[in-house]
Amino acid sequence: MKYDVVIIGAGILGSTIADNLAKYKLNTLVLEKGCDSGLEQSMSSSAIVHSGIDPKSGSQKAKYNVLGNRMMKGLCNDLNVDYLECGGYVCASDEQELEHLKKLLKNGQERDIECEIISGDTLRSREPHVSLNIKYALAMPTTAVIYPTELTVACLERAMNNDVKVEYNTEVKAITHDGASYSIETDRETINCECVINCAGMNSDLIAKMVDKEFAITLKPKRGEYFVTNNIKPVVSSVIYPVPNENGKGVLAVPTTHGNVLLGPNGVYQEDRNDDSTSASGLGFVQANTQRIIAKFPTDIIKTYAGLRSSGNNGDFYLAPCNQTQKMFNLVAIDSPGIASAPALAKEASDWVVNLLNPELSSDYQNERPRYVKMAEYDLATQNQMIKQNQLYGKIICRCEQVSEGEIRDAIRKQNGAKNLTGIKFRIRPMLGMCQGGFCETEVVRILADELGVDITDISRSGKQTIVLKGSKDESV
Amino acid sequence: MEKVCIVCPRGCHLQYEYQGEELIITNNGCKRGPEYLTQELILPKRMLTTTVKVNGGEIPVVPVYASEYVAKDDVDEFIGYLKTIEIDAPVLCDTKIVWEINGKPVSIFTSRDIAKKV
Amino acid sequence: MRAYDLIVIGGGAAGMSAAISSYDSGVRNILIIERENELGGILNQCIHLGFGLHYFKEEMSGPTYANRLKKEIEKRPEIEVSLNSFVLDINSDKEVLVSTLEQKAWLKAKAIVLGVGSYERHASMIRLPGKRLNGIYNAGVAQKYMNVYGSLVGKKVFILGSGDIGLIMARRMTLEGAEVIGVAELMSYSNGLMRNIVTCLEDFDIPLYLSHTVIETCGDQNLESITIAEVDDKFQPISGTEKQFACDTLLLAVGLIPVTELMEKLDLDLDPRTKSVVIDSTYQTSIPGIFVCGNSLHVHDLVDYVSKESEIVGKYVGKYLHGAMVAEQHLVEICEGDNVGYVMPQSLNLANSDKSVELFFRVKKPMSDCQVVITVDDVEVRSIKKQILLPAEMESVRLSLAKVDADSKQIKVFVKE
Repeated sequence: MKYDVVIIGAGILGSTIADNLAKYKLNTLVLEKGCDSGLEQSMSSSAIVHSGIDPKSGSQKAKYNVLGNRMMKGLCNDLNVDYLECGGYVCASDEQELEHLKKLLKNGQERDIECEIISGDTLRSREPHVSLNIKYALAMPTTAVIYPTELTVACLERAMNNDVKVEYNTEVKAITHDGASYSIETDRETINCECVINCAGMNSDLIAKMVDKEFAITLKPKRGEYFVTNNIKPVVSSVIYPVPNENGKGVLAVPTTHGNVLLGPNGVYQEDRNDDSTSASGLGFVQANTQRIIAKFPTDIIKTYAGLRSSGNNGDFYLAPCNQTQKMFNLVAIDSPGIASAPALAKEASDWVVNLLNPELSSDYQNERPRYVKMAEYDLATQNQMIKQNQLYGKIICRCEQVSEGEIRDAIRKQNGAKNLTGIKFRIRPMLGMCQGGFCETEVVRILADELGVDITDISRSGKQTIVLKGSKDESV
Repeated sequence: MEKVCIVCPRGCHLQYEYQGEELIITNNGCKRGPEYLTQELILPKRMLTTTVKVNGGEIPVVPVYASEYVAKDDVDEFIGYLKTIEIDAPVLCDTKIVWEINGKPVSIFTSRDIAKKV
Repeated sequence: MRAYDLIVIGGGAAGMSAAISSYDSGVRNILIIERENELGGILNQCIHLGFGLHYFKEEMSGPTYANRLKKEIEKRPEIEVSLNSFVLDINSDKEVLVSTLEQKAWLKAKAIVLGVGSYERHASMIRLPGKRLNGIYNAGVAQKYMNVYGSLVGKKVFILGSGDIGLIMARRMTLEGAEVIGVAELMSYSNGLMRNIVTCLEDFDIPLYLSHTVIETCGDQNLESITIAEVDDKFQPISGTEKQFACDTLLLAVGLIPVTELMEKLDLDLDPRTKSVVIDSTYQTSIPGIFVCGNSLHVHDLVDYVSKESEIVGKYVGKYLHGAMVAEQHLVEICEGDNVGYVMPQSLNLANSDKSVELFFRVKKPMSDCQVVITVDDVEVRSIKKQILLPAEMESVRLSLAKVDADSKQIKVFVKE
């Protein structure tokens, strides 16, 4: 069979593009080399919907960030996923940094972004843990935070409900074009299609070069390390930025949609496209630099992690049809502010497909995508009705994040449901609290095995390469 | 020769030598040291605990223990044997499930209850 | 709202022991809330022997110890047990929100005992460098997989941390057919019992690397190797001392931390030394009638001491519920002096305590032939000779209240060599 569109990559871009195309009578397929959606850069980003004040005027980043910021809330509301309108502040500690705030203010005014300069004391009246060294701040009320994996899962769930196909664990090895269609060779099968959207994140330049050997962008992987605090007493409730420098936005404090706070990132360029290691030096740098904005480094750290950014050698987003074959659209070097820009970038890519193929709108499109059941969001009477219908909604598995067995089973059964520990973790949050799975990982393995109808020794952490249990007692005889 | 006493946390470095047939132990903090070392030199003994497979139980294995410490040299053999056997649920705590292994007397008991899987 | 005289949160050793003792002190209408489908807590996965020597005067396994307490609960029919139940919220009016298989509901109590245990420090808390690889486990998680699920997490194992949990896992995994290639310990001494070093490591020729830590974890998606290095006296790796080991599993046995979410919901302050709440000698928090015991108060080395402590708590619960405690409280500060890490309890409730109180403490470093000294306002009131004191082992000394009066300000426990 021949697909109309193949989307390579199920990160936030691939997912939002698939969600857009699902409205049309198109045979669309999403290919993802990983075991699930949104687990690479989307997951390990800072998750911020930046206001759009910072990118250089005239850049693609400025254009799509501003547009994306205006679209994100509607998208999240439509899909019933979290959107935290927390606002953000760029902090200045002296008059020189104040000059920088004024430049940003001017950007904001030109781009029609709500913003104002306030005093450090005014900031501290809203954010009491901000460092006393901060004298001024640029307030940006439209800065927001999302939960990127939740958004990608929801987009693909709705896309799949509308007949988009998604193949995980499928890596693209080669792409050829015979003048009429593309032939995509993967590690599992060869797929034919009319047009291709390349949003393969860290491998997007390599995918582009499969078709256009002259493709000009080469990615420079940039690694950023983070701390995550517990969510009992969050140290900030809005995004706190230092004044940006030539190396990027600096070390930030970012509230998450679940009440934690991210502290980071540093930014280290490297050759390796997979190495998302944390290091003593990197975390030390983040800790030291956090103190530029936060008075006291939090003591309730529950997690450290690193994420990669597919930064380009051009310093800007690259999005354009392939020079060679015309029916391939490349989205390359989508680093920060990629999350914020995603809805606008996705619209650009899906509009390109629609113009090219001129498809009809689907007549039976299902727009409704219900939110996952999260017991804590209901009033007590409703919760009790739900427990009456399914007693497992009353059985708490993850004590830190208070997730019930019923909610976990739902996350497995849903369209685009979880298939492994990581999938469950980022859908419904067990194993993401203070104990990081110390109490509940074994329970989640049991539930997964039961739901999937397999033995516990078949359960993986994140895809079939990563089996959790290396053998039962019988085998070790 | 020297061996660290493991009877109490103090961990005395016991010195010992043979004078003919007689074992002479010095540098002990208390009289339990020589008792331990004499046993350790003649026939070292170790506790033995492991799990045994359970058929049809709420959990798939039951923890078991040997009621007396067993000869250190027998531990591997006994554990190996216990990996091969299976018992049926329900299991009651402190039930004797093994009387001897390869002709050597040893009492293996279960150490918890396991209900039948419903 | 359903009401109880006493709600015990947690059905492990602490909760069960406190419930039994409260009952025996005359308390009835008791509810134990346990999150798992059976009582016993972490004891159920600790299948080795060594439990009960002090409390039951016989050596038994963890599950047997739990079973013994369970039978005592069953003998006391007015103790109601709610399994598969979890407390989501608590307030200072002693109301708890509990989630069960039947409902989610607020329950009211006259007194509450928190015995909610501890959790393991994990990779992120020790800032373990590297990726988030499959094959890096907390020792307790691997222990549950092995002893309850009957499955091994790996075949070639390195262990970081030489406390008793690390040592016992080294032996257990070896006996189950895994190859344990070494144990590294950040400190210059092991925090485990000498008996365990001999019978868990030396018996199997497993090397122990003292003053070493893991500085690198490598692999693509699964752990493939680790690198350890010797550390200096500031615990910084010394370059040139690196050793690399191929392995598929790294077990972290790097300490326990009290679970304090509910205490934080009550806005109780945490003591940075114990990482749990401050209590007085009646084991009450600053909210009268809310008691804490077991590993959720401070991490114990032996479950026997958890039971012993919880038994004391039960007696004070009885006293509290019988109205035998005076409301006006004079608290005398109890603090640590030289060589002592912390002392529990943190204050003496003079009016409401028994005639003498047991002070639990841990030393900061291994010490031998030393003296434990108690002073009241810098006057020595008691001194006990000890042959050996180790940081891993909790010690206790008894203080007679005859030595303290209403004018006393401070009780101090210290150790001199």
